Amino acid sequence: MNPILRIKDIDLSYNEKNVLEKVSFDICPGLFIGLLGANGAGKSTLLLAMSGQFQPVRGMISFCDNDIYQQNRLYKQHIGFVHEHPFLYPGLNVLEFMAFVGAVKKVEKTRLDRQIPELLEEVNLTDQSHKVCAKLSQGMRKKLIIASAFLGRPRIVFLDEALNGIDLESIYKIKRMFRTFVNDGGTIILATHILEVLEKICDRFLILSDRKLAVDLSDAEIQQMKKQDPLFDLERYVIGKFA
Amino acid sequence: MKLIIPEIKQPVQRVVLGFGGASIFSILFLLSVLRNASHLPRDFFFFLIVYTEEVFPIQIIMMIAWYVMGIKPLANRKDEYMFLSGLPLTGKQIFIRFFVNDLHRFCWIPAVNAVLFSILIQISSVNYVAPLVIFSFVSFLFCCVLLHWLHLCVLGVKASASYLRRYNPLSLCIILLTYMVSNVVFLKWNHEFNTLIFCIGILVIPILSLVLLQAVAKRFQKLDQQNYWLKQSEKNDESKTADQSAFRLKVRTAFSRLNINPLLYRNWRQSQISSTSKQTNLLILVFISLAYIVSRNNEHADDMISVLRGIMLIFYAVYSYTVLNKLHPSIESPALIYSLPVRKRDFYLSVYAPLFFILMLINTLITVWLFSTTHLPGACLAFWCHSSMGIVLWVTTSVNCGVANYPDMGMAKKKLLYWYFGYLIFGAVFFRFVWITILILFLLTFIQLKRMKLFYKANK
Repeated sequence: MNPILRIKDIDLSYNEKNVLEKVSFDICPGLFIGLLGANGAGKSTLLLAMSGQFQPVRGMISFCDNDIYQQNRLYKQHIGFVHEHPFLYPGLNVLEFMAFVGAVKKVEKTRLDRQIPELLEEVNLTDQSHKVCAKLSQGMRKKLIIASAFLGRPRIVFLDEALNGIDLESIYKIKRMFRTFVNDGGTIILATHILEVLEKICDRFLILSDRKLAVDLSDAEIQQMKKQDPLFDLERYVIGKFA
Repeated sequence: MKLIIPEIKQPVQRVVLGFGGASIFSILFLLSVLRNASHLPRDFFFFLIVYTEEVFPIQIIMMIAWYVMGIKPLANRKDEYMFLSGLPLTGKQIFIRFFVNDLHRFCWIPAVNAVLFSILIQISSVNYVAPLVIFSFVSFLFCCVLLHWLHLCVLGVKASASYLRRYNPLSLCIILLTYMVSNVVFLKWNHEFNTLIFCIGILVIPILSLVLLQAVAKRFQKLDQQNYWLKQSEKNDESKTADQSAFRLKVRTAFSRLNINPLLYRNWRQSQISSTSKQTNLLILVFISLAYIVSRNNEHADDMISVLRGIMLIFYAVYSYTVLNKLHPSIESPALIYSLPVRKRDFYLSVYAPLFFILMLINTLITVWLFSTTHLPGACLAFWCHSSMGIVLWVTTSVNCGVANYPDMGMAKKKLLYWYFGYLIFGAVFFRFVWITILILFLLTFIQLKRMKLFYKANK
């Protein structure tokens, strides 16, 4: 299968301090990818770079063989992004915010009218649809930003600690939505610390350590390891890689 | 008709008190009119000056406020109906309760109008003002009846379905226009009516209002007997969330359907609640009042125009400076903007197009007011042209600094201050070559927009 996103030898730096060096990997469509790493390992920076928001110092990131920083706006029409601390316009209500994101992404009106109630339902936010964003709780904000990221049927969705602060029932519904999206050929890249979530839903694990991509592991490989060693514990394995 | 519930009595008493007081004043005015029946002839020019200068702007604001109050959901009317329908009251009594509530809600309108007309007494006579004040109250009463009549009897069953929730916007528009036009017409042709015609008119309007009120009350009662209101209430409850979702969704996403810049829409919504917008509005008010007072203190028209031009140019500069706040990261998050496929052009137009529009509107309104005060068309046109040039210069400078430094608005503000400082020092040169300066600024902005990227740049 042809990769949808190709990351080639990228270096990322903040204030002349290298965060990641010579990172390379490919991402194929229809996968749920988990991005792991210790605090400050560069997970969020890598997500920003892959989503066309943080230009690497060196290297190239290409989407369907096009440099994402050359065709930046066009690329952003095909992706969704959820920040760890989402910003919402306080004056807009939930529906207006969704419509705003849809309009910026140039989603057709009929599609928008159909998608907005569906997505709000999927993240358990229908009852709050008239609430002004300023009055939403942290969990609701997260749910809204997750719903808005899926507007217009993006090809890739980047999630930065997206499930933190969300109630159990909603997490269950959202995970089901993620799985449906991936099964339909979409790609999700989730950066998180919660290994339990990743273990259940991810098809591939990327672990960042020591400014490099330390581990690139598929779910099949993990299952293989579990078969070979019945005492295999993913959590211990990942912590070992962090060190 | 007796209203037996104590809670109902309170607003009724207030309305009766308000209208009673107004009537006593009206009778006193009327007596003075009857005593001195000579009317001062007023020509059209006099009317135009008096009206545009003193009454018209406030009347417009009043009408907008009335409309906004009217289309807002009627607090608890549905619940109140449910409560009242369980009590031994007829449909007519319930309707009168709602009608009285409305008079109570809106009775500030004829009061403000009457005060406005009373202000004219400083340049006119009691004979001229008194009928206006009386007419203002009577025509308001008629318009309130008309609102209910249009809503329940004219627009059909479909429109009356919303009677317990909100007023029909079309009915509201019609009665607002009726009220305003009738008052303006009466203001203009006040002296044409002699006392007898006036008294007959003042008696006929309430009689007509009573007839209409009777018809509306009957209609309400008829619908009540058919359990129409109860059905509406239940229907509203069942489909409240779904209906409202569909309705709001349809309305609020109109901008996407019409291809209106969504960022512009967002700015507009933001300005309705944002404290910075309230401060900006306060700034506008303070400057305009200042300009009015200072210019009024100058007897010569030329001095007045010069002072006003100076003050307004400072105001436009300050306003262009404060607009940079709208691009501040706490209001316009770069994280969100960078994650969405935002067009650079849309981004800046959403902030600067409204700024330019507002400043030009203020400039034009001030010029109109200046013309009505000084009657110097040439000087007023020159004032408008100079101020417009100033506006274009300030706005292009502000755009330039905003574009070049986004998202660092602190730096943008600093640079804008340097530009202003430069204009101050080389004021004469800049104003002599203002078009060249503006052209250069346009080019600079264009180049900066071209270079600008909506993502964090590589830190090599």
